[in-house]
Amino acid sequence: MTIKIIAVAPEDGWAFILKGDRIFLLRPPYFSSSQIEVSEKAVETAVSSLGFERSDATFDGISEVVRYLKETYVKSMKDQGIVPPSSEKLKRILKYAPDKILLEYLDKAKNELIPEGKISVAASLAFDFIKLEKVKNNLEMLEKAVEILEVWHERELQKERLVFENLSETWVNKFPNAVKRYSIDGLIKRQRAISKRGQLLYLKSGGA
Amino acid sequence: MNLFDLADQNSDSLKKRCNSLEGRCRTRGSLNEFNNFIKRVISDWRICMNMRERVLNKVLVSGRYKNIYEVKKDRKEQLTKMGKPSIPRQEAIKKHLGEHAEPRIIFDSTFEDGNELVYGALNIGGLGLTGFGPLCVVIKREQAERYSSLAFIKEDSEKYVVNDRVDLDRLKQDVSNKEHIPLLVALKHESDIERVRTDKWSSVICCARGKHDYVYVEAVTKDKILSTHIETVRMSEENYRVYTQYASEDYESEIDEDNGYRLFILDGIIILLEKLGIELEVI
Repeated sequence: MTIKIIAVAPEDGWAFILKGDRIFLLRPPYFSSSQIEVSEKAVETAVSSLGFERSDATFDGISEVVRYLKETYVKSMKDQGIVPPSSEKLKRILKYAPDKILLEYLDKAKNELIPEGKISVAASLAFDFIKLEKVKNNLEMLEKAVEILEVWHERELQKERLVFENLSETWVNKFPNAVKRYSIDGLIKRQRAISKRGQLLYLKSGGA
Repeated sequence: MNLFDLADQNSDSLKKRCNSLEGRCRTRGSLNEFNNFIKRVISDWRICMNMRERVLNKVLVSGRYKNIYEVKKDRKEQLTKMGKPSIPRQEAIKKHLGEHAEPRIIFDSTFEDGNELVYGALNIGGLGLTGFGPLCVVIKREQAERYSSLAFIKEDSEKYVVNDRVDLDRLKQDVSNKEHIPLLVALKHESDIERVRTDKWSSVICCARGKHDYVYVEAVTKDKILSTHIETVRMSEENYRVYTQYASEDYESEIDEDNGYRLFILDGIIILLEKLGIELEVI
């Protein structure tokens, strides 16, 4: 279906579109549910008082319109020399989120991400949330965040156990003499220590 | 003609018509509701302006809200600086407004200093006209009271432009100064006073109805609206949830470039609001 943009605010990615003989306001996040049918008067007001510009660009479908609006928006940001924000800055917005929304996300992490196996995603979310004053001061949120981190921690321990169980087999099968001489426990203990310090040799600080 | 003089001149008529309304409410047994409505408007009225994120960001960065004429003037100067040809201001405004330029230009040019007029809406609570922008910028009451020019019009001012001219007879009846705003609002919402619950009054006074037919009392001033005049900025929880969704995208995968920028702009707004000591209310 051909869709025409009749007015657009490129700096915000908002547009009035004509579908057949009906006009809709299309705005981020561009969900179909957020399209509002409007009258011609609303377009007039937007153009006369709200900084919208007239347009007559046509597209083959709504996804093309959305892609165009997103591209135009990004271009307008770049044209003004605005650099893409860092990941850290993107998450700063969480600081101001109402408790209700933070709780929703902690629930999502616990009830959706963890069952889907996205435990590290859930954990990094919980890590960031637990630093927020709002979470620190809210027992319910704090408990949920801690619960997620406990699941993650348990999972990490499990992974470690699995790794070392597999290693036992490798030692026994491939290095039987070493196992005979140092015992499997001794070898694993040494290997854990190396893994923990991240280097083969133990270096004393300040040592030559 | 001076719009603000018209507003002052309508005071006696508003008082007279409101006395009649009070009488009708007494007869219908709804005097209490009428009195409560008047009290509520007296105590809570503010001017609000709904803005999109980039618009508010510019207000906070530049320190002042600019009307359509100033925005066009700025753009023209920018083009001139860049060595690009620009078209005359009035023509640019018409081009920008397209075939629907007339009502705004006709209304503004009917009054003294028409190109200095800035429009907002009366607000006694709530998110304002979110179809105009998700961020409801509310001006401090004491600041609005200090504006040397402030008038309220019963409807969107463009609705008074009929056959290429302002219907002054109608407008003269429908305009008030700040002292008589409760009377104008009560006259407009006579049927709502009895019908609507007290906690819904704010959304009745300033709302979208049907296919984006906005119902609001328009506020007009020619005073400069500065960022320091802002009392609070309101945003819906639903809208904030969208932003939080963008932020959470970043945990699972790379965030879309446009969503990243949107978060960045909101983050910038929040920082600037904090610097000015203005609260962002998520409601």
